[in-house]
Amino acid sequence: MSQAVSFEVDTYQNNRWVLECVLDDKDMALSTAKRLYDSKRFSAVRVVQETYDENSNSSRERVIFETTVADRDNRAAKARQPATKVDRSERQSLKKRPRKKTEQKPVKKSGPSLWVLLLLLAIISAGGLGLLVYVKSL
Amino acid sequence: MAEYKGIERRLVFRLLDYWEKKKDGRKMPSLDDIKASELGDDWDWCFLILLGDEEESATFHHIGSLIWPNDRSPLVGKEVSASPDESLVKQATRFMPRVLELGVPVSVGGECTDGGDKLLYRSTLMPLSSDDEFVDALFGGANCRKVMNK
Repeated sequence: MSQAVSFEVDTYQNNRWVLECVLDDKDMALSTAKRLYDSKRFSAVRVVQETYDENSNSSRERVIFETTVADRDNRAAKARQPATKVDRSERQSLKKRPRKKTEQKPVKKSGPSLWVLLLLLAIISAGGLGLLVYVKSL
Repeated sequence: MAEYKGIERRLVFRLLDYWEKKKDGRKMPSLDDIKASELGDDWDWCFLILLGDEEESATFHHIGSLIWPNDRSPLVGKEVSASPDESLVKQATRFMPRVLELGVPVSVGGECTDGGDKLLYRSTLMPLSSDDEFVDALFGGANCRKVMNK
C-alpha cells in the first residue's frame, strides 16, 4: 500500500482557514505554524496532516496541531500568576467525621410515682390489718 | 556537488520568511521583488523559473552555482524539464505542478543523486506573480548534504 503524507499549515483569517504552505516534514510544519502564530498576525494557526492513498485515490485529513489567541492569552495569564507554593506545614492527617451523638431522650415516666404506690400499699396494708383485727374481735 | 554548511533546514525557513516578507499584503510577491543582493550567500542555493504564458514551457531564469555548478553546461534559459534526472535541481522542481495547483509555497525533502553523489536534500518552491492574480514565475531554493556510505 503506497501512502503519501504531507502537512498543510493553515492560518485563520476573516473567519476562515487559509492555506499558507505545504511541507512533507511534520517538525518543519509545526515550526512553521508556530512561527506564523508568533508573528501575531493571525488569530489561530493549525497543521493538518493529509495522508493520500494512491491505491484508493483518496486522502484523509487530520488536525495535528491547533492553537488560538485564547490559548496564548491563557498561557500568558498563567505565566503572570505568581507560583503559589503549597504550604504543607499545617497539613493535618485526614480524620473521619466524628459520629453524631444521639441525644438521650428524657425518660418520660408514665403512671403513678413510687411514693404514691408505697402510700397506696401502706393504706391497703393498714386496711387489711384493720379488717383482720375487726374479724378477730367478732 | 557543494554542500550546505549551515543548518540544513534553516535555508528553507529563511527563504519562506523572505517570500512572506515580500508579499507585503499581497497573495504573493513578484519576480522583481526577489533580489540577489538581499539574499546574500543564500542566493547561490536559489533558483528562479519563468513560467511564461499558457502552453509555454517553464525556463530557468537564475540557478545558483551551489545547486548547479558553473562547470556544468548552463541551464539558464533552458527548459526546466530538460534538467537531468539525477540532479538536485530536478528534485527541487519536480513538485512545480503542486505549487501551481495550490498557489502556496511547498517544501519537500528526501534523497537524490547528483554528480554521482548521494544527497539528502530539502527544497522549497514559492509562487510569484506580477499582478497578484496569475502565477508567472517561481522562486525556489534547495540545500543538501552528502550521505556517507558506511
